[in-house]
Amino acid sequence: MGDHALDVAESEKISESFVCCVCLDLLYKPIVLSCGHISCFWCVHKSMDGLRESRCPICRNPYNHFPTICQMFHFLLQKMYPLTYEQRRLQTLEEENRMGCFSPQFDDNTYGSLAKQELHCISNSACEASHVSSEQLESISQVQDSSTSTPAEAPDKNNEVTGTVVHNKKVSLKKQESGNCELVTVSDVLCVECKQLPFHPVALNCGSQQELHCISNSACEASHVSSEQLESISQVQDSCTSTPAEAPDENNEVTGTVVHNKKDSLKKQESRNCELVTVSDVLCVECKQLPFHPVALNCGSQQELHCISNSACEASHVSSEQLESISQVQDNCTSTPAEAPDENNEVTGTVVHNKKDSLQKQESGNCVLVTVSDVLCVECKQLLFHPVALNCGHVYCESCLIHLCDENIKCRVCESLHPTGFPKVFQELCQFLEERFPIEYALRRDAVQLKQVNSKHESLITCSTKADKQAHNVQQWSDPSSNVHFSVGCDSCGMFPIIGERYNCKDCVEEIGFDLCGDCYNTSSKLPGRFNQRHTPEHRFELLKSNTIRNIMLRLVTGQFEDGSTALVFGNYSSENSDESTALVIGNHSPDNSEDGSTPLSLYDRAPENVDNSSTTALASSPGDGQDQDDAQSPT
Amino acid sequence: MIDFARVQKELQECGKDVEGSGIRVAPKSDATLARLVGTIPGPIGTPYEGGVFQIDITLPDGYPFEPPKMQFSTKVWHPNISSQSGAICLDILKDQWSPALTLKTALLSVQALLSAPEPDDPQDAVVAKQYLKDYQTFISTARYWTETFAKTSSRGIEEKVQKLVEMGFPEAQARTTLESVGGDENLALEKLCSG
Repeated sequence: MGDHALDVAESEKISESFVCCVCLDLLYKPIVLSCGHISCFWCVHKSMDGLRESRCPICRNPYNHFPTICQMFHFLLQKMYPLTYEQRRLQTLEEENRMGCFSPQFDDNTYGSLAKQELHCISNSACEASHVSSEQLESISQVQDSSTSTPAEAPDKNNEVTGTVVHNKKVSLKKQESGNCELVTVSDVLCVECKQLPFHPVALNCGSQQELHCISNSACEASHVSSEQLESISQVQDSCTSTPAEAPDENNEVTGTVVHNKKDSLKKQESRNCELVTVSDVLCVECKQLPFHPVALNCGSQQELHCISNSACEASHVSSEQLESISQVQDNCTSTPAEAPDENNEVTGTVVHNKKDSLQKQESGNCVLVTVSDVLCVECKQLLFHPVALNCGHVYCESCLIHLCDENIKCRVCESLHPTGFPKVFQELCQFLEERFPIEYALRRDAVQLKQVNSKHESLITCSTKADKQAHNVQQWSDPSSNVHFSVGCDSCGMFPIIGERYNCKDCVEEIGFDLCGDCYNTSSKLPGRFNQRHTPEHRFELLKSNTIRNIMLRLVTGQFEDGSTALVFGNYSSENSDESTALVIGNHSPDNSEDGSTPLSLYDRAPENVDNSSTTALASSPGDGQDQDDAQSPT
Repeated sequence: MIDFARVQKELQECGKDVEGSGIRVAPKSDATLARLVGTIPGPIGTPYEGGVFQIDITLPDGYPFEPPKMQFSTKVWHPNISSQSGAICLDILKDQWSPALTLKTALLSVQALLSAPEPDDPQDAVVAKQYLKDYQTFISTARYWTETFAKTSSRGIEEKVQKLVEMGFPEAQARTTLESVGGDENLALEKLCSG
């Protein structure tokens, strides 16, 4: 395990800004506090204070709501550091199993592996069992690659649909560190005709990738085309040495020389970045398919690679990010750079010889994989500019949020209120975006600055609301009659500890329990628990009282009271006690509520099983009823 | 449950920068990472300059969510450090601890405390009183303690004591006089002679 961890750490260099300040490891299930500082889910939870408001580990900014995981950032990290992230997942899961308490699980299906379930086998011989999904792919280096296919040109030139076989060498794929392949799913490489994994895919001259057709006769067979997965082993006898072909037709307008692809002998050593590259990154501008012998024209950029018309478009693995050839590889297919044969061509180019095969990515720009679509503002759907995260984990541009909110900051997506003041910019992400998308970011900056000229006064308002709220908070804490449920958090809004009414679910069996604060109970939130509890709307709640004596003692111990107020509380308490006969309840509570902060689990107090039922009010789950009964019971 | 993975990382991180900061952290024994020894150089421009101070570190179960327990094992003359036990009075080692702090940053804070004593919030009342009332004596005592206890070559003191004893002064008196003048042989001799 240790060795493995080291390997992973070496192969994926993690940017300092994505290291959790608490566990000093890659952020896992990141939470963004309203001050803009990030930490892992468990790190935030464990560093929260069950007795009073918590403070940001970095800037000590006070807060008392446990924020929700920022899913956008979660998936971003997963994409950038698949190996380390997976490792972190396993570590955390192990820890969670030990504690018997789990962090929220996300549905990965939303991120592209739908196809797996949808795959159907075809009736004909057509579809053969394949090892498409990259996770499974792992061929052994010793395998004799018996199935060397000879590239065949489209036999019938009269066909409308003509193409050449894309030769698959990926049979001899080897996954060494492999994680990136996971990003590629079958759905990325479907045949447009049969909707299955294409076996010998052909690309048509006429159009884009979406127009891959099954060649009717040979039908559709499975292949492992997508370049992300490709990795041939050095030992493999590279039987299909390709001879560089010159543009056969001198009359073509577009002429170039073959860019010879060594891709057969690619090896992924540090490799995980390759996952990021998809076929769509390396399309021929002409046919919109994976170019086989790509040529670069003098006239322009990479985007102007044209397919040489006759030799048609064949698959290649050009993109430099993926290419990495090993020195040991017998380079059977040494390419001879050929010059453009026809000087009469309008467009003439020289060979772009791909030496990038031997590129090595050390500082693992897995960030290449990150596209703008991974980091969109939920409001304006553009690249995030000065991202801010709300308590619910949704990320907005600062400027979008300023426009959205008046007095209360409410998330547009989940409709939940943001409890503290206007959140601060999430600096780490901000810097990352600026480095990763300099051009787009600059454009966004210009656009936003224009808008902001008009909205300065609004940001002033948000400052004042923050001040108000803080003042309000202080009052709550020092108010002796406020009902603080120490070490119990609301599973909806995240308030921790709960101040005011606390509703505890009677039907949740998880040790950590399921609790709601008064506000969330009354709005009957649909959110699942913070700790993956299996709470359903049918569950019933009961209203629990906080333990007054314990409150007082704890506050005394933690020095939250000024001298005057403590005396007052004691006075109040004694009179309350005689009225309410809560003594029994308190007695029952206290043993369970022992102050044991050693495990995070115990921070969230579970309602004691043996609470005298008569002292707590069983409530139906409908908020209205609950409210009534509550009123009836509460001593006035 | 101590997060040993994090402690391991901290040790690595600290090891990288020993040259720059002079701060070292090492496990006390190979058996556990819960007990460590930290070393800080005395800050330049203070009576502690030139000394190397050892600090015993014990990690509580809740580390890093609870502060590490730190105590000087080298004797120090400082208002906020007990001259008897080595206990440190520093807010970040108590209620102001944050899990984002590390052993190294905590040791840096201790080092900063050496250069900026806070006599108004003392740990050692005697030292604090001396600091406020007789700053010069405080400086020379602190320097003497540094010379005596925080320097590996503290044998020098023993030699001086030996010299004075040879001159005919009782050893205990010679030692205390030497201590009171900060280890200066001539001053001690003068003082002893004058009475």
